Amino acid sequence: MIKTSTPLSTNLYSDKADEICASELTEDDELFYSNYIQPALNLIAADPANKTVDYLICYSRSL
Amino acid sequence: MKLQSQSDQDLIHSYIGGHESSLEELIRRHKSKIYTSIYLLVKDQYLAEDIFQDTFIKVISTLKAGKYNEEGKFLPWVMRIAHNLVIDFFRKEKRTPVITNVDGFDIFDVIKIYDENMEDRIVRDQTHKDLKAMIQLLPSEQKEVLIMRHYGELSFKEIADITEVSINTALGRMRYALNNLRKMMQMKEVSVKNTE
Repeated sequence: MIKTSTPLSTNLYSDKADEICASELTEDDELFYSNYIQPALNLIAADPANKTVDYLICYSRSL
Repeated sequence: MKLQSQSDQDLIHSYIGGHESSLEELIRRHKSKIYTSIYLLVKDQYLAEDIFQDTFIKVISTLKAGKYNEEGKFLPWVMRIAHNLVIDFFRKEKRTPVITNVDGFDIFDVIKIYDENMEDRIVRDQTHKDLKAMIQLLPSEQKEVLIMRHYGELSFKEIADITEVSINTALGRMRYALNNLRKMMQMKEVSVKNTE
């Protein structure tokens, strides 16, 4: 299962513009996102079929 | 060093150097995020599989050709490729994403949930089913930002670049998405307990 819990306002890549924008998110936004939306998104994550992954591995080896 | 403890960059170098197992680790590490992002946008399991496959064929070709840009991070780069392929698909099909499945089957309904009693599981199942449906009801541009931020771990600047809007617009879409979800939850009186 995916377990992503990066806060919404986290400045992921030290980009100044992103930092300014992300800081405009309210505390309510942050709490709602981290308490409800992130767990839901983590839980609904799914994997592709094994045969798809196997095909890619074979494809890479064939090159 | 174990593959699992290596960084994406190290795995890429190792793969380019001829270690095929490094690619397997990269796919294993990121497949859920990338596949789920594609699936939530196209809402079709088989199409999502195809686009996921095409995405990694591009990734493999680029890496093997030595054309990978070292400056970028791996996951955002792959997410960008996947997003472009999704856009290409909708352009070709000249249609917009649909909300319902053709055959009524939803892969997310069969996700296993462990260590819960039956009552908790039922409440949690319903809550997440409701939330998932609500996410699908969001306007596509809002859903896109939410998915890219969460699964792709993209910065708002990167999201803005990919979707060709300003950073403020990308951020605004995220706020609208959250507000819309909050409103929908209040309207449906969705239980937001036991979501973790």
